[in-house]
Amino acid sequence: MTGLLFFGYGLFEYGFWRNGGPGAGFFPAVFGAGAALLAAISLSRRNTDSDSVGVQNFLPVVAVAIAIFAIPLVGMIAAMSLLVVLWLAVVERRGWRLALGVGLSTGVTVFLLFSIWLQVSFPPSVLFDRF
Amino acid sequence: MDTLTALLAGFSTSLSPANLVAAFIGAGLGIVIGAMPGLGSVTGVALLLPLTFGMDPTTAIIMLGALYYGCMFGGAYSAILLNIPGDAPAVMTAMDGYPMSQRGAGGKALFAANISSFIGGTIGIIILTFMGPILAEIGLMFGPPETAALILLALCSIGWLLGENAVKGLMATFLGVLLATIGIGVTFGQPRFTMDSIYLLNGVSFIPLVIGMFGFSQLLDMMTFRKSGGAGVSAVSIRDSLPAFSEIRRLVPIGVRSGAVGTFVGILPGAGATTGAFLAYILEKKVGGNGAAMGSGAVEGVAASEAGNNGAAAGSFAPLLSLGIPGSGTSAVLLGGLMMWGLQPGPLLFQTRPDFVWGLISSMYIGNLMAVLAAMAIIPFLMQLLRVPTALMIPVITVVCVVGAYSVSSSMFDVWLMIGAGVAAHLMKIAGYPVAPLILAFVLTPRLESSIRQSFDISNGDPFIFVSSPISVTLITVMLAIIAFGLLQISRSRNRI
Repeated sequence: MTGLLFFGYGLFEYGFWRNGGPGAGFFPAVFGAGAALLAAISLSRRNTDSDSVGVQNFLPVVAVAIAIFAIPLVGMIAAMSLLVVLWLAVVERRGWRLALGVGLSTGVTVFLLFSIWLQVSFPPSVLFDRF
Repeated sequence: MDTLTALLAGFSTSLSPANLVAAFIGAGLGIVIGAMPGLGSVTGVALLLPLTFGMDPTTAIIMLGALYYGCMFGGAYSAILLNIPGDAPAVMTAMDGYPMSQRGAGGKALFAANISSFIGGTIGIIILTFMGPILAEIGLMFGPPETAALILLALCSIGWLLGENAVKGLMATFLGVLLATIGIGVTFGQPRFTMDSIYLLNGVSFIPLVIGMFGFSQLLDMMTFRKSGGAGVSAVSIRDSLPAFSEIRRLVPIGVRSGAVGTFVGILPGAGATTGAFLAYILEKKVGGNGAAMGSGAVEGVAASEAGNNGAAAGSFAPLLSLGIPGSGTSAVLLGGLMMWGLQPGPLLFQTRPDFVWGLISSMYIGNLMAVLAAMAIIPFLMQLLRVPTALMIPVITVVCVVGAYSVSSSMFDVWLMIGAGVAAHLMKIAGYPVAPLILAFVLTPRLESSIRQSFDISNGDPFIFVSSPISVTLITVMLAIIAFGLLQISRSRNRI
C-alpha cells in the first residue's frame, strides 16, 4: 500500500520527468512500484518463520508515551527520572530504594551531560523551570 | 624523501607539550561524544569549535582532528553494548557487535573495534601522508555520473548482502529510499509527502530514526528476553575478553583492506565515514573468509566496519587540505574553522603553511594512538555495563533513547519519530525483514538523487553520460553482475519452495 501511494504521488503529483531529466516524482514512483512488486512477491510466498507479536513487548512504548505527556508538567529530566523509578518499582518490582537510586542517578547524569555540558534546551515545565 | 622530512618537521610541532595535551583532550572528548547516541563527530567538532577561537590554529586543528578520531572510536561502544549506534558510521558495527555482546563476547567486540579502528585509521593516515594530493585529484574524477553509479552499486549490494532473504532485503532497501524522499530535497526544492507538517519539511530526521530502529526496537526485543527470564546480554570477565594473539593477527588484514577502502571513500566529496564503513563491510563479506557469518555476530564485521569508518575519517582530510573541498560533514565544519583562523585550504596551503599542514598530519598519528590508548583504558569500565541485569537496563536505555532523539534539534516530534521507528523496526524484525538496509538506503538516497539529476543536467538529458567514463562503466558492470546474481538467488529460492 505504501509503495502504491508513493508510486501514485510520484507519477501524477510531483512530476516523473521534467526538463530532460528525472523530476521530483521519479524516485518515489520507481521505488514505490518496486516496493509494491516486492510486497506482492512476499505475499505470494508462504511465511512460516515469523514470530508472534507479544502485547507486553510494547510496554516501553506506553511508559514513554505517559512520560512524554508528563514533560509539560514536570519537565524532561524529572519525567525521565520518574519513568525509571516507576518502571523499576512497579513493573520490575525491584524495591523503592534501588528504583530511587537508579532514577536519581539517571536524572543527574542527563542533567550534567545534556543540560549543563551540551546546553540542550529542554521543554519548559509548569512545576519546575529547569527540571 | 621530501614528504618524510616534512612529516618529521611536523612531528616536532605536534609533539610539543601544548599540542600533545590538545590531542589528548580532543581524543577523550571525542570518545565520550561519539559514544552518546544522537551526537556524532559533526556535533562534537561544532561544539568544540567556538572554544578554540583563542588558540593557535595548529593546536586547535590538532584538538579537533583528535576529537574526530575519538568520535569514530566512541561510536562503536554504544553500538556494541546497547545496539544503539553512537553515530551513523557505527550502524554497521552494531550489526555484529551487539549479537557478540548477547552471546558474552562483548569485550572481545570492544577490543576488536578498538584495534581495527586503530589499524584502519593508521592506514588512512599513511595513505594521506604519501598520496593525499594525488588521491584528492582522483576523488575529483568522480563527477555526478560516477558518484551515481557508485551509489547505485552500493544500493544494489545492500539488499542482497545484508539479509538471508533477498526479497525482504530489497524491500527494506526500497522502504529506506522512499523514506528519504520525504521533505524538501535540495535537488528539487519541492515538498514531498510532508502531509503539510512543518516537522517533515526537512525530511525524516536521521538520528532519531537510527536511535529508534536500533535502540528503541532493541528495548522491545528485550521485553521478550525479560519475560522468558533470560538475560539480554551475558557478561564475562576482562581476561576472557582479551583477544588472543592469533585473533589480533586475523584482524590485521581486515583492518588494512577495510582501512584502505574507507580512505578511498573518505576522499570522495560528500561520501563520508558511513559509506566508508558500509563499503568496507560489503567488501569483507564478499572477500573475507568468514563472510557468511557476518551480520550474526562475527568479529570480522566489527573490524571491517570500524576500520572502514576510521579510514574514511582520515581520507576526508585529503580533499580538505589539498583542494579545500570537505569530504564529509565533519570536515565541512573543520573547513569553517580553518577559514575562521585565516587559513585558506588548497594546494597553496602546503606551500604557505607547511608547519600547519604537516603538524596536523603528524598529529593524526598521535591522535590515533591516544584515542586507542584512551579507548582501551575505558573498556574495563564499559564491561561493567554488561553485568547490569536486563530489567535495570530497559528503563535507562529508554531514557537514553528519548533524550538522545530530543537533543538533535530540541524537538518532541523527533522523540515521537524515534518511537514510531522503533515499533516499525520491531515489527520488521519479527516478520524477518532486516533493518540495516533501510537505514543505509536512507543515507545514500539524497546523494544518489542529486547525482542522477546533475548528470542529466550536464548532458542535456542524454542518459549515455552514465556510460561515458571507464569508472562509471566498471561500476555499472559490477552492479549488473550483482543484480543477475540476486535474480538467480530469487529463482533458486522459488524453486526450493
